[in-house]
Amino acid sequence: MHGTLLTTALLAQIANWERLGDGLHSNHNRLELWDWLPYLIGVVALACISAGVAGYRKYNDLSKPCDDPKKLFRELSLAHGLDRSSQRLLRRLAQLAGFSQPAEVFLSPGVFEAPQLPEQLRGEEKRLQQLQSRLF
Amino acid sequence: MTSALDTTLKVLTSSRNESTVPVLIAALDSCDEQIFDGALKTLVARRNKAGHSAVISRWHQLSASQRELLSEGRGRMSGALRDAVLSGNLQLFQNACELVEEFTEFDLVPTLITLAENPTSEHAQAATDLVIRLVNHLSEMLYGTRDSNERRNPESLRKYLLESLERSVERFRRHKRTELIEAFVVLAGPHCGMLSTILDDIHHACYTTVVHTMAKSESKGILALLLGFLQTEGTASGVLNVISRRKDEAFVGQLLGSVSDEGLAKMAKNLKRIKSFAWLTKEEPGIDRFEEENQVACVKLIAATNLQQNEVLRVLEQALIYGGPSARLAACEALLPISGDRPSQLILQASSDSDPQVQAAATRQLRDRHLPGAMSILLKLIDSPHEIVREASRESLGEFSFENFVTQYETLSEDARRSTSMVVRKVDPGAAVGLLVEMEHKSRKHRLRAIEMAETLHLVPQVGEGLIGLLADEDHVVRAATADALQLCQTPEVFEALQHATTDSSTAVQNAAKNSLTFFSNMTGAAATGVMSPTEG
Repeated sequence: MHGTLLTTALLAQIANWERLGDGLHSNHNRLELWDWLPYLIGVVALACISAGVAGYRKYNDLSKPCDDPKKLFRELSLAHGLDRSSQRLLRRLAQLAGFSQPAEVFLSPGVFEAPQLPEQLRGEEKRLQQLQSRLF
Repeated sequence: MTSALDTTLKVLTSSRNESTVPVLIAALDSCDEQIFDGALKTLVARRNKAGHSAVISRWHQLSASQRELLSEGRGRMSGALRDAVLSGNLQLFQNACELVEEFTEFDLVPTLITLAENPTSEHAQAATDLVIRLVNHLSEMLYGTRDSNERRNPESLRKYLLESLERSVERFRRHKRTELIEAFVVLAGPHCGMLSTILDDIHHACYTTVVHTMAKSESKGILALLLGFLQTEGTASGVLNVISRRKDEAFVGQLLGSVSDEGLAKMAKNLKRIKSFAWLTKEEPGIDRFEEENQVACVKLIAATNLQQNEVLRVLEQALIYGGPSARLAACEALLPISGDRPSQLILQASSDSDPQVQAAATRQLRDRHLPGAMSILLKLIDSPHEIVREASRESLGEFSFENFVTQYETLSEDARRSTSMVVRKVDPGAAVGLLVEMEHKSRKHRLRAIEMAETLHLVPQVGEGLIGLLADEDHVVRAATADALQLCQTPEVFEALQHATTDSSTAVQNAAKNSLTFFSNMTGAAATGVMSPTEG
């Protein structure tokens, strides 16, 4: 009995409830392109980071099948524990010796010999001799 | 090899980077032997067709030790070998053929067959020759000595190759390569459907080639095929003709080697269809050309065939004259079912063989052949120094048993009893036991006859105990006969028993006992003066 009366009282005041949601949804101003910019920048940044991580992983992953001469050179350099400077020197030697692949230098002891050295690498003779004795 | 170079090669071997192959191929031009060998080994170890092709192209330049390095690539280089075989480059083709043979790459056989069938290919003949060599190698694996390092299943390989060769047989009219048909026959077993089809149809395009191969080839596969046909029911008569005509040493050796009781049982039906063996004709060397084991096999084999009797007897005679003891024995056994004068003469001859086993085998046949003088020979052989001969002789004179002697005794004349008893005594060692049984018979007549037979058989000393027992027989006639017979058994026990018999209630017994004792004393006197007693004689 008491409940029925209370319900009737609330429904009678319904006019007071009509303007309760003003300014929340339909009445708000429309979003501009600028509003989306931070989101776009965030997505692009995320994509770049993902691509960078994937590329880095691929660069260092030597276990996957591939056909990549540069990677092979790095694989061999890693196996012999060569630093970046030595790797650069070897790559340059391979290039000047006319090898189609830089890794060929690991199976060509002759190109390290002083008389065979290209003019441009005369100054690196000592380092190359050290590398020769390390690789062969 | 330095550890650093070793590290490089290990990386190049295990790397999944295909760029390693051009690096290694480039290293094959190195003057450094270590680098060359290392690159060679690494290229072989890697599963890369381009790398394998580079190795194959250099095969003819490799030293023996370098070629040895390639053995690791067995079974891995099929793809590159296939390309090389099909290439137009002669050097590459030759290298590939050498490698295929070296590695016995049976996987390449279908490719080689295709090449062999191609009339326009300049490598067709070389490919054909290689197929033949590979098939012969497989035949050796199947039927010859097995290489302990060989892990491949020869039976699976045979099925694989046979499939390709069968297709080639179907295309024979087109390619006309008889060598491929020969290769097919080498691998086809006696149960091969296609081979049966060819052999059943004399007009088949491959019939002549197949029969010619079976008649001439000394391949182990062909020899095994022919022996397999011998053991298979319903073998085509063309095949049996080939078996009958072949006389080469390899085949004959294989045939004789297959002769065993079990083998002969399987071959029996087909052997009965064979009417001659070319290797056994008069023109061929005698049976003595074989080892003794094969002489025996030869005798057993011809006994199982349907050869003309004259031919069989000629070979058996050879075996009896020139063969070893086992062959002579086998010949005697083979003569058993053959009747007639000639085989009987051969048996008579064998009855005086130097080997007791042969002599015994011949002796067992003497009686049934009704040869004149056989009885006297058997009676002589009964005293042979060899037990096996004596036994055979006794078997042959089986009717002269004590049992028969007892049954026939009453019907025999005095002379016949005497002569027969001599034989019975030798033939039946159980005669003395038989007499003792007879002496205990209920019938008085039997007991009296036993005493008489003991005297006739000269077995009184052997049955002395039984006779002493008969001195106490209820019948005085038996006692008197016993007392009389005992004079031939001079032992202290008999002497005592006879003295006791002198007090017998029967006068006849007393007299007989006294007579025997008198005979005893006379014989003792004679013995003292050097005259032998009858029993000693």
